[in-house]
Formats: sequence, structure tokens, C-alpha cells
Amino acid sequence: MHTFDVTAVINGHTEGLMALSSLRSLARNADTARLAGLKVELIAILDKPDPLTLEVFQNFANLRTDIRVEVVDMGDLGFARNKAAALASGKWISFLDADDIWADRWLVEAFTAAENDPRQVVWHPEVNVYFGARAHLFLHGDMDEPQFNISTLAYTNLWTALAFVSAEFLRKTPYAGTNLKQNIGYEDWSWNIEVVNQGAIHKVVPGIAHAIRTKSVSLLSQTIAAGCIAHPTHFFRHVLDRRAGIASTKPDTNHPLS
Amino acid sequence: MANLFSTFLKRQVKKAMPFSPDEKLLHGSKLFDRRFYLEQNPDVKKAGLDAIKHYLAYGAADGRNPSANFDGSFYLQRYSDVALSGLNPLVHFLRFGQAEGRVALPPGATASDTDSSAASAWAIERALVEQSECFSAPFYLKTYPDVAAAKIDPLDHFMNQGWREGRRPHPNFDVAWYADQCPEVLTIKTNPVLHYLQYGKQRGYTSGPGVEVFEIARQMIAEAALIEPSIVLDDKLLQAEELHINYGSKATPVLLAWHKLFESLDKPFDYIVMTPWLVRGGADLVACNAIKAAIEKHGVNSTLLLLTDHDRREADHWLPPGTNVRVISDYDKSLSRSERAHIVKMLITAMRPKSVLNVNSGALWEATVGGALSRVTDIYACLFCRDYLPDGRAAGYSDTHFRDCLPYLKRVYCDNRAFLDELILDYGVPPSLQEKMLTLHQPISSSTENLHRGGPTTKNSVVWAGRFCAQKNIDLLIEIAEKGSDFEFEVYGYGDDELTKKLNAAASRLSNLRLMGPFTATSDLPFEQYNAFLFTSLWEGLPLTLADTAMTGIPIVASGVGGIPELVTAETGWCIKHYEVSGPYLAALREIKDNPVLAAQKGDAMRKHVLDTHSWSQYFSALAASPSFLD
Repeated sequence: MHTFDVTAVINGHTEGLMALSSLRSLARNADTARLAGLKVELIAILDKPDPLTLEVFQNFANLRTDIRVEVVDMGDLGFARNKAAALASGKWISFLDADDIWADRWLVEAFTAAENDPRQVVWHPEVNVYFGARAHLFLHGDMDEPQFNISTLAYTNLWTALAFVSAEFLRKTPYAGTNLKQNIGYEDWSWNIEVVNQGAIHKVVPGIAHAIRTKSVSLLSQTIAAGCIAHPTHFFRHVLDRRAGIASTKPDTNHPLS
Repeated sequence: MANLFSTFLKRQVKKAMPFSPDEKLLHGSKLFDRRFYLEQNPDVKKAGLDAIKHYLAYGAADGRNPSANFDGSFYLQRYSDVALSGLNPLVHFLRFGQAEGRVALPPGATASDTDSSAASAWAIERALVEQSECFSAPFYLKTYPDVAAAKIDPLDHFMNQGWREGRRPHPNFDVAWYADQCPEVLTIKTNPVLHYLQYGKQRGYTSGPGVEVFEIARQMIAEAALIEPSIVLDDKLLQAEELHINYGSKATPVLLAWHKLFESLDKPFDYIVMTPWLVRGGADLVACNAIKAAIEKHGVNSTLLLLTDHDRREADHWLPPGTNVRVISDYDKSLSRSERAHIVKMLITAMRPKSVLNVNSGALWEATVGGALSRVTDIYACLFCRDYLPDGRAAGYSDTHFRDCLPYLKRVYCDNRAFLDELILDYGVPPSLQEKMLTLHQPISSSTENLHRGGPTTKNSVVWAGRFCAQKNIDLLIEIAEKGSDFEFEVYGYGDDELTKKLNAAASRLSNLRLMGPFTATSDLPFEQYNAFLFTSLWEGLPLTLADTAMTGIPIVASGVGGIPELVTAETGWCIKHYEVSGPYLAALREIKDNPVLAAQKGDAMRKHVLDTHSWSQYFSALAASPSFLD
């Protein structure tokens, strides 16, 4: 039995005052979910935070005593998410970056969708509203859509990291590390592929959006500038092995940086 | 770098003003119709630009046509060699394509003396889009400020070029969204709005993601504004339906081609050779030898040949039976170099082969830059010699990519040592990287049956065989024939129009020079009819055709460039040190004529040398030395 239905995680680093909007979004979601009868755990993971960001989180935690603040020294967003999964007491876990905003009913709608689908599914919002430096809409794909083509995953990342997933699944399928100096980046893209490699699927929660802040310099732009690729995976090779009728060695345990 | 610089100076030619020769060419051609161009492109007319200058500088690249009788987009799509060359399509057609029998219009299209029929068809299509609910002028001008700033009619802009650039004509019409449902609009390059109105709508295709998406976005923005008020300070976010829409599976030419390539794979491959095309050239033979070696060691099911840059496959018969071949151009001929590099990168990261060998693949060289691919596979590359642009600038991969890529390559194979040493010197390659640079002599392809037994005794006959191009120094060949009236020169080959004309003119002027037409393989040439083989290249690696010729034992007189001195030595032939003047060649030919015993001795020594250094077993064991493409 799980102590909580959902563990809602906010990942912070150097967001400073901007983090307050995200903390408020986390709290509104928790309140909405609790009103709907869900037991919600709130965890903040601060990975190498700057003093201002730490202060913003601590002040907020003084007001909202239901949030637990953990400071870690990992320097890697994927590893920080793994740490949250290790700490989580909820059946489900969902992530919010400390400069983004969830729709108020995200946790409720994602929980409902997840509880009603017996498959191993990673859930995403249907729409992302990007605001800040480059305002635009980003639509998430759903692997149940007939036109979904698995090889598109080699072309680009299809989903953000602000997912809703079984905490147990995440603990079994942790994020791999990144190393921009070794041209290995895109922790979210790599994890999204690994999810499928493990036999799970990605789906959208209909009618729900996230708001994602864009900055002129971001981890993504640094990753692109470093000429990175996603973490090497054997997933596509397994697909070809299956076409050829060759027994594959799935799951992939050959991550050089893991 | 002195060597490189002096070579550059040698090749340097007088430069004309930019565009002026091309401008003259277009001025004199009926295929450039100034009135048509300005009517079709009101932005050019409004800006008061010269039609020809605009077409040469921008118009062709934008996909604009110079007249109703020449379809540039069709031409570039049909002739990928032209597209990859970067030449203006009409300039190519007028200078070369016309004479080569290439066509200017798609099948079914008819050339007309006037542009009236094309103009009226365009007007009808424009009206169809204007009267539909798929175009909004205010939205278009607001979304694309460059169009507004240029004071171009927004619908004219969309009809002429906007759709080609993937611009959104209406909040409810997203070009990529539509193309995702019917990719043929991208492959046949059709205006997607017209396609939707005429075909797609009836088939149930949708023009965009639907109003519910914008409603979800509006709701999100409203909720976010309560805790992040700055979000509504951005005017763009006040009109959700006007926001740019992105999604991972957005149809792009690269993604569509990648889907097809990945779909075509029935198994993974561990050893991939990438080459631009498969024509009957020296590098193509090198690629085929590597394929043959990989199949010999690992089997046909482990080996793949990927043609990355073009679709020409004239030398398919050189491949071992059953070779797995894929051609990127089979999935989209019009892909650019960087798009092909993207596909190569995806293929390698997805398939994770043990090793990849690059034999002149521009796409793979491009993809190797930065080093990311070396994290997922071992990359090997072949280099041959420098290559030069017509104005003398060095532009081969050894100059454009070698330095950036060497740290990420496992090994660089070259068929001669001289060129590797030149690169080491020019680029200051340190010892730790020099270890990667290995001489790999290619195996000869001909048998020993075509043995030269001395040639005719009644005449002094010399054979020259090769492609008529600047590298082969046709001018020197003509000069040698002019000054060597005591010899008869027979020339086999084909090539550039201008040089062919020059040779024809020389042959009609000189009684001792005859053009014998093209040849299929060096080994098929009737060497016994000749006393010596003449080779006049200005730059080379170690051409395999020369090694094949050497196997016959015919006396060889060759320019001492690149790796040739490693084959043609004082013991095996006549290597001409001062290779740019005719005198030493003629002196060598006369020595062969005067001393047939010496010529025969050198021929025998050459055959022995080739057998020792260019056998299949020697090649295979050198290639297999670890670290190796075959590991």
C-alpha cells in the first residue's frame, strides 16, 4: 500500500524569484487534487541551488508545511529526478520544473487517466504553451494514434519531462546521466526512448496543458550547441532485430554513462 | 602549408565579376523571360530589382521560375547532381544540360511562346485560395513581418513562395500538419492549400490541429496568468490560434525520408560503407573492395552499402552478389547535404553498427564533425588526393573536413603514403594522430591475361586513356602530340564539353592525334597495339586504373604527382618529375622507342611490384589490421 496516491515533485536549480510561480502552481494542483480526494505528497529537489533559489524555496516551505525540501549535489537533472523517485512515497509521481506551470487539474486528470489504463503508460499533457523568449504551442503525440511512427523517436524528442508515471516504473527505469563534453545530452529524450524500450508507451491526457518558460539561453540550447546526441540506446536495433526474427537482448543495460 | 599555397597559386585563374558571365548567358536566352519573372514575382518588381540579377542571386534558390518554359524546381529534383552541385538550374541547363539531352519541363508540360497560359492558370489558383477559408491576409502579415515590411501582397507571396517555405496561411491551416497526412505534397512540391481544396478536403484530411487545441491553450494561459502575470504581457499569447504550432512528428522532408529508410531495413547491419554514389570511378571501386572484404569476413547479412549523396548506380555490377544497398535519394532526391547528414546521423545512432567506412560520402563527413557519432560507432575514412575548384582553390574532403574530423576517426586509409605525409605536414598532425593514418594499397581488378608483349614494331604508338577534365591536363597532352610528331597518339575517354571540343580541334589539326571514344575498363584497352602508356595528371592519389594498366607490363610514362612515384619508379617505368612540361615526357617516350629491352625489363619489374603490393590478400590483411573497419 502506498502512503500517497501522487508524489508531486518540483525540480529547482537557479530559477530564483521565478520559482515562486511554479511553487504556487504545484500547491494549487495539490489543493485541487486533495479536494478530489487524492492523497498528495510534495517534494522539492534542489540540485546545486544558488542562494536566492534556496531562500525562495525555504520561504515557501515555511508557509506551506506540506512541502519537503531536499538539497542535492548532483548537477544533473536526470539524476535529480531519480533521487525524487527514490524519496517518493506516492504510487504515481509527476515532475514540474521550477520555472514552469501545470494546468490546475493536471494531477487529477493524469491520475484518473493512469488509474483507468491497465498498461504501463507515461502520461503527458496534450498541449504545451511555451511562453517567454519564443512563444509557441507544442503538441504532444500519443502512441495509440494510428499514424504514430516509432522511428520518429530517432529524429526528435516527442515529449517534455513533465510526465506523470508510476514511481515504481521510474525507479526501475531511471534517467541516464548526461555529459555535454562527451556530446551526450537530452536526458528527457533519452528517457522517453528508454521508456519504450522497456515496453511502456507514452500517451496524452486529453484537454490538459502545461505552460513552459523559454529562455534565450537554456539547457536545451547549450545541448544543441555542444552537438549532442541523445544517450546511446539499443532500442532501434531491437526493433530491427525483431523484424529479422532475432532474439534481442532487451532490456538495454549497455548505457556507457550509467 | 607552402605546398598547398603554391598549388593554389598555380590553379588560380582570372576571376570575372560575380554573375557577369551568367548574366550574359541569361540575357541571350529565350528561357529567361524578364516580363514573366516580374509578373510572377511582384516583390521583385516593387523593389525595382533587376530580374536576372535577382533570379541568379535569390530567385532560383527560392524556387522561382525564369519563364514558363523552364521549371527550375523540377530540374533540380530530377537531376540531383545539379542540385548537389549548387549551380543555378537554368545556367546549368544552358551550359550543359541542353547538350546532354536533359529536359527543362516535367513530362506532360508543354513549352509555349508566351507566358499567358501559365499566368492565367496561376490567376485561377490564386482566386481559388483567396475565396477559400484557408487564407487570411491580416494573419499572414501579422505572422510574417518580413512580408509586411516588403509591402508584398500577402496572397501573392504565399502563392509564389510562402507555401514552399512552410508558412502558415491561416490560423486553421498548418502546412506541416497537412503534409503529415499526405506527404506527397512535400515530395511532389505542391501548394498544400490547393491540394487540400482540390483533393484533401474530400478525402477527410484536416488542415490543422483543430479549434479545441487553441481552447486548451487559452485555458492554460488564463490559469497561468493568475500566478504568473507576465505571461499575458506577451501579445502573442493573447491570440492562441495565431501561435506557431510545433509537434515532434511534424512532416519534414528529412523525417519522411528517414521513415522510409528505416522502414526499408529488414535487419540491423554491423558494417556500413557510405559512398556518395556508385559510378565507375576509382573511389567507387574502393567502396566495392571494402564491401567485398566485409562480406568475406562477416557475411552479406552484416554488411550494408549506403549511397548518401546521389542516386547514380552505374557500377552495381561491381558489387558482390546479394550486397545490401540503400540509396538516400530513393526516398527524396531533393534533400540537401545537411539533411542527408542528419539522416546518416540518425541511421548510425539508431542502428549502432560496429563500424562505418566513409568513402567520399559528403553526408557522412558532415555528420562526423563535432564527434558525437564517434560515441556510438567506430568511424573510418578513405582519402585519396586533393581536389580543386576550377579557380584553383582546394576543396576536397581532405581540406574541408579532414582536420575537424580526424580526432573522431578510428583510422584514415589512403592508397598512397605521399598524400598522408602531405597532410601531416600541411596540418601539423601530431604523432598521436599520425598513428591513425594508414596506407592501404587497393587490389588490382584486372587479370594477367592482357599481357603486353612489346607492341608494334612498325610504328611508334602511344595510348592515353582517362576522363577529359582539368585534372588530367589535356592541354599538356595536346602539346606533347604537337611536339612529338614522331609518335602516334591514340586517346580514349570522354568528359567536359569544352575539353572534348579542344581535343577534337587538335585531332583535326594534328595527323598524329586520334580520338578513339570512351572505354569501359582500362583492362579492355588493346595495349598490344601500343608501345607506351602516357599519363599526364596534375594531381592524383594512386589511381587503380594505373595499377591495372601496369599489370599488363606496357611501359608507362607518368607524371610524378601524388602517390604515382610509389608505383612508377626508375625501376618500373618513367616517372616525370617536371610533370607540367612536355619535354621530359617526350624524352621518356623516345627512350622507350630506342631501347625496347630496357622497356621490357621495366615492364617486368612493374608487374612484379604490382603483384607484391596490390594483391587481394595483401589488401585484405592490411585492411584487417586492428583497429580496422573489419574488427
